[in-house]
Amino acid sequence: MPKSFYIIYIKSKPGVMHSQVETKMNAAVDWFRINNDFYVVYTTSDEEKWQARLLPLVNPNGSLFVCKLDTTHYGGWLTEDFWKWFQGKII
Amino acid sequence: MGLPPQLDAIIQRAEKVTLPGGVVGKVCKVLIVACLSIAAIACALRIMWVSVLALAFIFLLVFVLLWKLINFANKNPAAALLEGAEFLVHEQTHLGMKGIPLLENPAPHKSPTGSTEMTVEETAKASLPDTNP
Repeated sequence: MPKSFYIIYIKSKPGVMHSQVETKMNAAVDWFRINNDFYVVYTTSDEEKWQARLLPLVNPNGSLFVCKLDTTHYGGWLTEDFWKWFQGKII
Repeated sequence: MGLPPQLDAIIQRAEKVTLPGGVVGKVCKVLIVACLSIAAIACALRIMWVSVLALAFIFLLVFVLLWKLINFANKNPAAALLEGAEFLVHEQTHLGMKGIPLLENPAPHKSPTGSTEMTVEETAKASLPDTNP
């Protein structure tokens, strides 16, 4: 299965611990947390699978957005740790 | 007249107990003061039924408030324990990756090319608005 980058914004519902979110994220090949609610995920799964994995943690009062990344064009201002991780996988 | 040594030791140990900040800490402090006040009033009056009522009221107050506090802390641990500014810091960026849940000393921020400043051309390009064909 080819690997792709996805961005996942997740605001879990009240009562869900952060560790539960990251247990689900660990299903990915790799991931990088940019802030508490925002992950860049390197994965063989598609958006439907990620939605199915994470929906129990957000339904009904949380938020979730899963979107495939086009990595041919990117830019920004982030820690060098992220760029090394990201660019290491694109190559 | 000095306190008995056992009571003195207990008070010294109690002074070392610190309550957490945030909502939990503040409510606990109010609860302690309220209970002590009610107990002091009941002792001062020295009427049996007042003492019993005061005890019942303290029990009810403590039980209900602690139940609600525990539920709140369960659902919102950061808000329950942290003071306002601490809570805001906690909510800020926490970088992490698979296998390293918290990057303790992340590298400085840069652009993808490694540069830390915009070039003159980049600055000029940024000032132009989007084109709408």
